[in-house]
Order: sequence, then structure tokens, then C-alpha cells
Amino acid sequence: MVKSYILLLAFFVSGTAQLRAAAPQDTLADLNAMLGGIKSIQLSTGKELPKGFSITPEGWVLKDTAAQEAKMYVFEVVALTPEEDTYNVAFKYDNRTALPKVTVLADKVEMATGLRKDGMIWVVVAVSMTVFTILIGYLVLLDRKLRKMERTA
Amino acid sequence: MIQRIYILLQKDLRLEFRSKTGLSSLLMYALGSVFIIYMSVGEPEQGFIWNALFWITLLYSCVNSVMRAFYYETSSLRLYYYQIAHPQEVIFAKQLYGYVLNTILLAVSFGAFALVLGNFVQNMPLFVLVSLLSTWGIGAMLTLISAISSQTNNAAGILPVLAFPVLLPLFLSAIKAASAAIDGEAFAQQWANIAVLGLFNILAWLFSYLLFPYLWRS
Amino acid sequence: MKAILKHGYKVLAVLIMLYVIPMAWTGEVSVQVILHETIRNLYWHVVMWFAMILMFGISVYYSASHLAEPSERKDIYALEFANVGMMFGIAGIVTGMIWAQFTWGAPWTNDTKLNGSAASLLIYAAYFILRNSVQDRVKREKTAAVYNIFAFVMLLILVGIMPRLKDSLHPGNGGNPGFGNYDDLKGSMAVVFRPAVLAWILIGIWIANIRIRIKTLQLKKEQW
Repeated sequence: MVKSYILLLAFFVSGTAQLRAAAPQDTLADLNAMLGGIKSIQLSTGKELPKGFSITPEGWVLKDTAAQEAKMYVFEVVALTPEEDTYNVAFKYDNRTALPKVTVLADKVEMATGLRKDGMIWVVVAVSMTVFTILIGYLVLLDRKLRKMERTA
Repeated sequence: MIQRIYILLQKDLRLEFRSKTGLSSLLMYALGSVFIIYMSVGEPEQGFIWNALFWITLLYSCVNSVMRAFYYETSSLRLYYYQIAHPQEVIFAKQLYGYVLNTILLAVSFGAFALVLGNFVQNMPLFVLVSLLSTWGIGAMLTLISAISSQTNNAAGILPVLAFPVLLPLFLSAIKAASAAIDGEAFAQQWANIAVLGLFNILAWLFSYLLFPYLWRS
Repeated sequence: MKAILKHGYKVLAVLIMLYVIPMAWTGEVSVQVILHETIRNLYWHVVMWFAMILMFGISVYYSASHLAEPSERKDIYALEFANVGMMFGIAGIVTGMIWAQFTWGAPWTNDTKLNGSAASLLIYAAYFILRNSVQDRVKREKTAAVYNIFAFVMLLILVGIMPRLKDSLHPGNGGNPGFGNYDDLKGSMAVVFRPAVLAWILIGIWIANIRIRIKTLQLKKEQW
């Protein structure tokens, strides 16, 4: 049920031509281009970006000189597109080799928007309310019977 | 107080070693199991099989040993105890008795297993610690549970029913930690399991201290 | 006035549930990978566990108070609240298994919290068996009370403390506690969750109340 878009970009850190004119220096990835538009970006709650990485509101993932340690940096963000789709994006920045490698994995989190939400969800609500009312009705019946027995005992 | 515990403990141990049944039957059980395993499986090829068989044998021996802790005491004897000792002293003595018995069983079982079926344990100190803590935990918990079940009319039947759910997490931790010791893992990785085993011991003592007096009065 | 006190909580519980059910289906929820829409199960599965712990807590309160000052009424209360707690516990495990089948791929895994919760429900099942094995009434009540306290503490340890010591698939264990991770909507889930907990606790008290009255009537009949 989860569609994954796997995009592998391997490039030299210094001096790579970006297609978008206003791309800042040291851009690792352009989420706007990958996902077809970004409405908002949030960090996954409880986690934070490693030092030296930042994300602009337009969807560029930037790296500055602080991230020089030779290790694998991993972090996750949640991106919301204008079509109300939520993508869980995982970044891996591998600095251990001479050729730094950036891996971006974007999982679309499918929710029951669209078809289900216009009208049909209320059927589910109605059914569950009915079942619940029947159970409560049974409890009330028991309660009343008991009260009658207690009065006559 | 400690003297009274010591005296009660000595009484139990002396009774145990004097009777022909009791400890000897448990040892026979342990050795018999080893023998049957040797006959059917031979020396197991892999460590985790050895581990499983070891724990099965140990489990049954320990449970059987502690089961009889309260079994043989008649109500008149209990009245006598009630007059001469605090309830906490009685239960502590019983638990220490369980500890001693279980340690003997552990030593014998492990010795038999190592001799006959090969010693697969790579991290020996960890294994010793884990098996000691778990057999002690079994002993302590079971003493309390046998005290509870002795109140019922079918103590031998109800004891396993009460004991099994309580011991389940203890066994999970023990078996995991023991198999880690067999594979030769370091101490530090298993601290969670060891903490659980230690916790069970502490809990059993705490419960006995707080709850046993209520049971004892009846 | 007395009628309101007697039945008011039942009406409150029903009203809250009638609010919770539509909100559970249509309310705004946190979007998570793996879970997708099933995060709404939070309003059912987790609520069951909260209600269960409270029911067992009330039961242990009556058990402890029975040990301090014995009374048959307290024993009946302890028993019936334990019954209702058991019901919630079974509901919790079954809903958990259904949820796990679709999100984790299997109805049961070798997870500390799962094993701990199953073990503590088994401990409580043994409580009922124990009650049926003691014939003398006074002895039975006392033994049951002692075991109840033991069982409750084991429940707290097996379900609450042990999973935090070890790694677990469950959220909030082996990581940060609670549903903090799901609250990126600033409380839109808590608005449905907390009333739901209250409602189910009240429903549990209602059911226990009915059971207690049935039991009292039965005992009265036997004494004739």
C-alpha cells in the first residue's frame, strides 16, 4: 500500500550545476522538484537535524561546513504537498568515502482522504453508533431488571 | 532475628538431608533427564539446543523442590511456629532453604550437562550469574506462591497454575541471557536481562515481607 | 437529586462515547508511516488498557482495605472489579493482535510488552482459579486479597516497567515515553483520547456495579 519513490543522487559536493536558478550553495537535495511542490515541511517530532544540515521552507536541504565528520548522517522529515499528501522523507548523507553520497527515500503515507472521506465515512460512523447503542441498551435493560429484583427481594 | 532464621533454616535442611526422599529424588530426576537426553540426542551440536534442554531440566527440578516447602507442615506444627517466630522469619527461612536447594540442583545439573553433553558455555561468569539469579528467583517466588497455595485444599494442583504466569517473564529473561552467555556475548549487553532477574529476586523478598504475615495468621 | 448521582455517570459515559465515535472516525489524526489510518485504533486499543489498569487498581484498593478490615462487601467489590478489568484486558489483547496483524505483519511477536501483558492476564486468570479452590469463606477472601495485591504489582511491572528496560516494537518503549511522537497536531488527538478513557472507565464502573448487585443478590439468596 505504500508507494516509494527511491531517488539516488551521487554527485560531487563542490560545484554541481543545479537546475533551479536560486538554489543556494551546498544544496544536497531539492524536495520541491522531487515531490512536485511543497506546502510545508516539519521535522519528525522528537528528532532534530544533525549539526550542519538545514532545510529551507522551499524544500532545499542544505549542508554547511559543520558536517565534515566522516560518517553516515541520517535524518527524517515530514513533507506536506499542496495536494494534501503527506510524505515521510528519509535522508542519508554518507561522508565516509571520497565521493559523498546522498540517498533520499520518500514514502507517501496514504490516508483515507479522497474517495472515502466524501460521504462514505459517515456510514461507518452510523454503524458503530448503532452497535454501541444496542450494547448500552442491553446494559440499561439489565440495570432496570436488577433494580426491580432488588426492590422485591 | 537472624538467629531464628538460621535455626529454622537449619531445621529444614536437616530434615531434607535426613529423609531418603526429597533431595535425592530431585537429583535422580536431574541425572535421569541428562541420561535420557544423552541416549536420545547424544551430544547436541548447537549451543541453543543445549540451552533449551538445560533450562527444561532445571525448571522442573527447581519447581518440584520448592513445591514441597510448605507441603509437609501440618496445621498443629504451624501453630507451634506461629508462637515462636515472626512470620517474616518463617518465610525468609523458607526462601533461604529454597535458595540452598536450588543452588545444589543447579550445580549438579550443570555438572551433569557439562560432563555428559559437553560444555557450550563461552562466557562462564555471565552464565553463572544468570543461572544463579534465575534459580534463586524461581526459589523465592515459588516459596511465596506455595505459601499462598497451601491455603487451598488442592495445593499440589493449584501451585503450577499460580506459578506458571509469574515465572514466564523470568524464564524469558533467563533463557535469553543464558543463550547470550553461550554465544559469548559481553556482560554489558545483557544488563537488561540481568536487571530483570535481580528484580524478580528483590520483588519476591519484598512481597514475602509484606504479604506473608496476612497469610500466616490463618 | 439522588437519581442524578446514581445514574449521572452512566449518562455522561454514553454521551462522551457518542461524541468519541464520530470523532474517532472523522477527526484529524497524526499521519505516520506504517500506521496510516490505523492510528485511530489508539482510541480503542490503548483506551482498553488504561481502563483495565484502573479497574484492577480499584480492585486492589478494595483488596488492601479488606486486609486491613475484613468485610464481605469489600471482597465482592474486589472480585467484580477484577472481572471487569479482565474483560478490558482481553479486549486490549485481542484489539492489539488485530492491529498488529495489519501493521506489523503478524498477530504476535516476541515483544516484551506483549509477553508481559499476556503473563499478567494469566496471573489474573490464576486469581479466579485460586478463589475457586479455597473452600473456607474467610480463608478464601484473605488469600484472594493477598494474591490480588501481588498480581497488581506484577501487572505494573510486567506491562509498565519491564518493557522500558528492554527494546520493544511498541511506541513509547525503547524510546521516549507516551504518545509525544503522535502529538504533532498539537492535541487534536488528545481531545478525543482523554474523554474516551474517562468514558470507558465509567462504563467499566457501570458494568462492575451491575455485577456486584447480581452477586449480592445471589449471596443473599444462598443465605436463606
